Amino acid sequence: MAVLASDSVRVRDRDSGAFDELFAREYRRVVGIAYRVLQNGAEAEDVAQDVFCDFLRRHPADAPYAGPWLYRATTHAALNAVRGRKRRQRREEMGQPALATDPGPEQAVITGENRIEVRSALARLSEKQAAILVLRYSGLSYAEVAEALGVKIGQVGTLLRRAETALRKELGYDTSE
Amino acid sequence: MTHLNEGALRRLVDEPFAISGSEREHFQSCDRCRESVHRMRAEAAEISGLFDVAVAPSVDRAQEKVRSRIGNSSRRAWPNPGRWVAGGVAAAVVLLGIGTLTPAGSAAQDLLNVFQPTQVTVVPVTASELQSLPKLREFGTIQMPHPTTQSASDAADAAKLSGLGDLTPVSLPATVSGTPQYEVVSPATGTFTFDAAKASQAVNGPLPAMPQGLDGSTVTVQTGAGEAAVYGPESEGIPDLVIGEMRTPQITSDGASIKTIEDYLLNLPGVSPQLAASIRALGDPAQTLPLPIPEDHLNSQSVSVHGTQGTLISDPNGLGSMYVWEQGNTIFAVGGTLSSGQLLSIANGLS
Repeated sequence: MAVLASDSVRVRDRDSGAFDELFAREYRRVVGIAYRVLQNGAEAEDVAQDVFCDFLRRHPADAPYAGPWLYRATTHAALNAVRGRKRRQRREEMGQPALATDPGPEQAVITGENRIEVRSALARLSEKQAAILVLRYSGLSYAEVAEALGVKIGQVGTLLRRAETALRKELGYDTSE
Repeated sequence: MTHLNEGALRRLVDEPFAISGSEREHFQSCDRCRESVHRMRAEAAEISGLFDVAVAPSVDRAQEKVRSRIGNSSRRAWPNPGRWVAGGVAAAVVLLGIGTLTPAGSAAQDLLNVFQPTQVTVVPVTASELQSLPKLREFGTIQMPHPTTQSASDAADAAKLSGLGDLTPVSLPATVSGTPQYEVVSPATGTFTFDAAKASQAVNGPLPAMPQGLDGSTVTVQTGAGEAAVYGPESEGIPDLVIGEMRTPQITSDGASIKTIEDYLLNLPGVSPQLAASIRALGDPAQTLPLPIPEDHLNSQSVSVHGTQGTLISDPNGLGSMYVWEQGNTIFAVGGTLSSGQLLSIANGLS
């Protein structure tokens, strides 16, 4: 079947240098995007690996659109995970440690309730608003954000500002101008 | 000059050189614009604190995990229904799998030709039957491009891109995650042209005489646009739920009649009498879309779905199942790891 033949092609890609290069270039960034949505290192890595698998099964590892594809898909998958809560519930039931990544000193700022509040607030925003916040605050340039979300670069500032206002409102911050 | 708009001001916070000279000149002399940027910068810093984390995952370990998973998935016995549907599933089973490679499949396609079938009927095929079939490419020339797929942002976008309906179900079981991934497959056209000289060289043993008018006849297969909504962790195997629909394929011949082509192909050496009988037994091709199912690997049964006759295809190990039916020149498929009862409920609830 065409489906299985396609899988075989993707499998060959894993042995190429392109596979290694893609991981070296994008994996940390993709985990970072997922982490900013999920606020949990282990879940972020699960999502990132799911997305890499999806990408590599459908596209060559050296596809020029790999980055934007991964960023967009990761945001979408992470938001889905938050909304569905399936992974989190499963992990809590299994009693696994929450973080596989180094939280760093900044993690002290975002602990406990804060993490849950941010995650919940993102889940209540529209998909596009949540995505633009996560991508921009993961360090993507305006051009990269525009490419990942399929919008014009001139729209990014406006969309970002509206998303920030929406997030602040969800978090109960002062939004009066 | 008028004040800079909100988007330009926001971009100034992050990319201060991304404005024109005249805009910069205005900005530097405008207290209102500068105050706006000052406020935006403060708020951005506050939000940045919420998102600011240091992430240091093990790239090597993750790389190995992904390598392993891709390798494992390629050995799946049950093809992923998400890609079935996204790639033109139900129709593709006929057209791209068995259909474009075997005479029996071609006969099945030809039975669809010029008519618009109104129901799906299973044609069981065994592995040995498939292996013994002569290859269609030995009887002529095939040109069959793969349909292209693209992602859609939501159900409305998928419907707009495909020209089909809204895939949103009336309700979902609580176990299914909220937002699906949407994919759209474009229409594609393929052709097969009979070549008597090629056929005589390729086949050993007695070959039925090619009927008058068949040599040089071109059969054109047009696969329709399709769309699919995929719920759940597709990368971990079969998705929780896939809902898809696709326009019924259309097949035309510019030479020999459909009946002539059918008779010729079903009499070729390698086509088992049982398979030929199954295809002939379909009766009026105007009413039935044949769906070849490898009976060694999948179970199938005729069912009533969405008010019409359809087929339930299921994995004997309980990995997943799928309902396939046709209505209004459109093939529908609802499948996944949910129970067949849940899938049927979703299928019956589609608009």
